Amino acid sequence: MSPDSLPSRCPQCGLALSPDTTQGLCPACLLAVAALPTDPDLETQRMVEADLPTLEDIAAAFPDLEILGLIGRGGMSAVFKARQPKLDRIVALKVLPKPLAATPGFAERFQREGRVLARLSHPSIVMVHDFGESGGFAYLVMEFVDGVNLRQAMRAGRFPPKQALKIIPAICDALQFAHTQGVLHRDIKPENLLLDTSGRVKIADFGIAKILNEKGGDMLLTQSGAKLGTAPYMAPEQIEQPSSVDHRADIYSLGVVLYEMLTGELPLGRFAAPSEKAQVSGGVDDVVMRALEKERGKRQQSADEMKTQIEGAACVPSAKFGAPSEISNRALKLGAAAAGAIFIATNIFLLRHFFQELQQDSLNSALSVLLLNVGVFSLILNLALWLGLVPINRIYGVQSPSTLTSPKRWYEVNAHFGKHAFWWSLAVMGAGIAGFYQLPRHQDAYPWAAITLSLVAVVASVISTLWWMHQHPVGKPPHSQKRLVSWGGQAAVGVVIAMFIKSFIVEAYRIPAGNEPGVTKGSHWLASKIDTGFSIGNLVVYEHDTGQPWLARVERREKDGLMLTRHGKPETFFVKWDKVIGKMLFSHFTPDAFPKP
Amino acid sequence: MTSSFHDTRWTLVSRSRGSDTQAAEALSELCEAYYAPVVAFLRRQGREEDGARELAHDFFAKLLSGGAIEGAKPERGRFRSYLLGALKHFAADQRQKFLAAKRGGGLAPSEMDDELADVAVEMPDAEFDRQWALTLLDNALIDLEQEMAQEGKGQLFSLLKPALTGLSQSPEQENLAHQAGLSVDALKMSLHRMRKRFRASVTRRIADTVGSPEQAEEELQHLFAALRG
Repeated sequence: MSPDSLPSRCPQCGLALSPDTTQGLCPACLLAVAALPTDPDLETQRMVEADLPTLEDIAAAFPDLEILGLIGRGGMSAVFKARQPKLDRIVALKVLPKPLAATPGFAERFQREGRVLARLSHPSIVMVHDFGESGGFAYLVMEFVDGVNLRQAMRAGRFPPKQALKIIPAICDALQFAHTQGVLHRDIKPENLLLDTSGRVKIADFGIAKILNEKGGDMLLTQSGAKLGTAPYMAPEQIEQPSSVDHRADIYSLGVVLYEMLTGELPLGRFAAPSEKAQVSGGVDDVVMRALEKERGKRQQSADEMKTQIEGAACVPSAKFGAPSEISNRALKLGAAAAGAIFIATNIFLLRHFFQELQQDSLNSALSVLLLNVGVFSLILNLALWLGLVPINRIYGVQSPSTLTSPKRWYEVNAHFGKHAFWWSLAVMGAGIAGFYQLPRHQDAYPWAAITLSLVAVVASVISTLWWMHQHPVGKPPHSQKRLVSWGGQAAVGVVIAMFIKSFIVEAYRIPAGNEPGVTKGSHWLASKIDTGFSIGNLVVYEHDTGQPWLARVERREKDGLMLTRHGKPETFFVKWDKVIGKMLFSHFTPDAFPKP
Repeated sequence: MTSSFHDTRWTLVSRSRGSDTQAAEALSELCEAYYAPVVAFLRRQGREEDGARELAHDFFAKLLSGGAIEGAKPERGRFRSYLLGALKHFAADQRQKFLAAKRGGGLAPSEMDDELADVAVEMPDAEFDRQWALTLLDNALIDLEQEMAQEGKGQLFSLLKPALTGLSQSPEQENLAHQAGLSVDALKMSLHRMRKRFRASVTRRIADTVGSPEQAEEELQHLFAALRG
């Protein structure tokens, strides 16, 4: 080869050449030679233009196939489009370099890995139909994907982030499938992600890296100039300790691909977050940055996890949040309409009842109506949160930086809050109803009790939700709940409920002394505070002038209170409503509780 | 490669700051080896071939005579960066002198001249790096040729040189083996050895101009990028 006959471009790398530099050799290829590690076995595996079999060679080696043309070639293989006349289907024939097939140990490895790959059947993985050796070539017959690879698609025009985020979940699905089968890809890069004409994505060359070299990533470094090409897609541990790679190396590579799709750049050095370069949310940043963690322990631990995160992040509009009208949906409107209707109906009913039938203490009545309204409203709003009917938005639901990161987080936190607040709303509603019907005997205490209950409801829901969020940090496994804390929380709620019951519903008494017929001296008993249905002969407990609870029987019902008798005596006395504690529900006598005289 | 890092030419120069004779000698050798990129840079700045050579000569003369070139310090970074920095300052200096002389008075150059002088800086930089890589490869090839010639393998070198960057097609390979009087396997082995020696030569040349093995790796990547443009 004299300098005159040299083509103006390097046949290997396409660099423009001039005959008076580096003695007529291609400088880029020379430097690539200089960059190679000095392993003689690996070097012979390099497939260059010169090693590329011609169409005739291939046609001769594969008599069963109709070779239609060369589709492409990588550093280590050539891919031909071929037809299987018997099956009348188009396939892709991948041919590995001849010297490789002659490498000791290759045949067994190829056999073993090929079988695994042929079992890998997934809609997003390029299917391996057949493999073997023919005419000295190791080959794989694969599904033919009519389309372009991601590199070509990216070159044709930058991917809008929406499209980029759309194809990632399918890739994650395929990776997860392969990983559960114990197969790693080891060489995820745009060239290996194919987009067919209908826009579906398929992963090609699954595990080929392993067939080409048992040591995994090693061989990639040995290809001419490949170190400068594929290295950015490789996880740090894949470069440093190729033998230790696991499925998380594929997750890293996919992170690089995603970063490149979004920003058009490779994440080299100190790189910018995707949201600084593209119209994506901070949630996408988190997913990409996590996938690109140098330590694999900090990455997503499975392709499924990455998929969930990317799908979550992809739903959030990029410009953080716009006007509430942007996020309105049918469920939200329906919910608002239902709440409004119930609100109006309740109030019409209450007001009619209030004016026509009952003459009540105005403050307590107004408060009870208010409480009932608040309760109903809160019940409906929180039920919607609990059931996950409320999409992520800026006005309705738990608003915190963490809940706004992803819809998944939003729904989880709001379901928790909604569930708690729903039950509390029921209690508030109950208090409202009780107040409306003047069920509690101590009407003076009602406003305070009502306000306290409402505050407790709000505080309890908020604390519980904050605690839950603390226990379930974003993007990390939940902390294991300490049993003591869990019990403590439940006990606190129990105490609050018990106090509420004691104040408004029932109270237990022990009658220290008293000889009311039918009640044993020293027995315990339970008084209902909400029972207004006092009838003649009922046992009631009332507050005596001494401040002690005393027993008596109902003789007659008056407008302002009860006429009672004691000891079966005929004379009656009047007790005002606010001194009447309640009607006896049941009594219980424990003989040992009092020493016998 | 790592062990030889203590006494490469560039570490020698940067440690002594060019004051002792050994360091001056090392700097001289380095400058001699990288004459071409300097000329390429000056030509890219719009000078004639002769003018560029003359200026390059002046530049090296000043550098080697120990004349301080403002803004360029040898103790930091690589020889390539150092040389380029020194060259830029030198060239800018010369340009100002030239322009001042042309205007015919001891007038200080206006701000605008500075700006104009800086506009074309990006392109000459890239050309400097590209030429640097080419020079380095050229030198490495010459090293290899000389080494092999000394061993009486000069003819084998010229025979195998075209195949250095890749394996030839099978018939050509056989042809080559026949010409060299070797079997195909022996030919492949010879090629492999030759590549290995070439690699060592390039590595040595790069190591000569940087301060640490990490820098050597970076330098290689940088030069690769410079070549690919």
